[in-house]
Amino acid sequence: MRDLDPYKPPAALDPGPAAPGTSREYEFGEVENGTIGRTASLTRTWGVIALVVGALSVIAIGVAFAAASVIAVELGIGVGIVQSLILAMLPVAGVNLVVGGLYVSAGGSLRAVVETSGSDVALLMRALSRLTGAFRIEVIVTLIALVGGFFVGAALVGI
Amino acid sequence: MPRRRAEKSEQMEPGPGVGGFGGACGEHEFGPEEDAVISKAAFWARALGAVMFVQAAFDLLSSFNLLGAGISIAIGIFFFLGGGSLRKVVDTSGQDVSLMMTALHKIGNAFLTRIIVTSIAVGLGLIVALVALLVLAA
Repeated sequence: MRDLDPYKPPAALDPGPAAPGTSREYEFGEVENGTIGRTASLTRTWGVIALVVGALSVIAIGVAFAAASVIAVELGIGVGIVQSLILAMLPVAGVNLVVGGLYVSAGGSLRAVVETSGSDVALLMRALSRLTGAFRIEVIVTLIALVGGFFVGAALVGI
Repeated sequence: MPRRRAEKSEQMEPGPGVGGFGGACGEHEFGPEEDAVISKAAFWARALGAVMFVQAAFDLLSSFNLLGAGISIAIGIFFFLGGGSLRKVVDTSGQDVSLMMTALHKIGNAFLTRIIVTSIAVGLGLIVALVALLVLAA
């Protein structure tokens, strides 16, 4: 008997049987590859920028640490405090390097979706996993920075 | 019946170049494992968008930094909308590929905004550094 349920999706959109847990492989078309390729380029570019910022930060921290005694004299505070403040910037540089690496890797996986055939969905899922990792780190680090910045600011103004 | 199954199979597995985004689209339904990956990406993309909004609020409240707040909001909106589209891929059926492309486009826009803003900031920083060096040298 024909199913007349108006809320049922059309038959053409019903995925039908697939392997447990996974869908069948799918090859993205030209328009879709254009979108994926654009996102791949932008993701990779942002990853490279984050890597460069991270590397430059490490160099700047190294230079500043070497000149800590000079900075301490200029600011009129102890060398230990200056060194601690400089070293406190190291995790931020490290996070930039890790997140940058994840974005470059995600961009590479997205690029592979466009350039290869036969495993588009698997490559897309790998790219999404790497993007998720980068997003997660960014969220946690930004929240820590915001909360930490709030408490440091509050301490400085004496709240 | 066999003929109908054959037609359905053709519609579900388009060959290369058949697919499209926003138009006549070769459709595909992601499986449960893929939905789990997409769901996580959706959650964290939206979380990143929400954190950008919080950062914008901090910029406004702490230093009335309108420019910084505006940039954070713009990037946050793209991440949030991208995450929303990814969530729809999991929650709906029949438009998985189209919604995935919409999500990727929006996430790409977030990166594009970041790249443009960072490029401008680096450019301005270099100009300021050059001017400072020239003033010191004079």
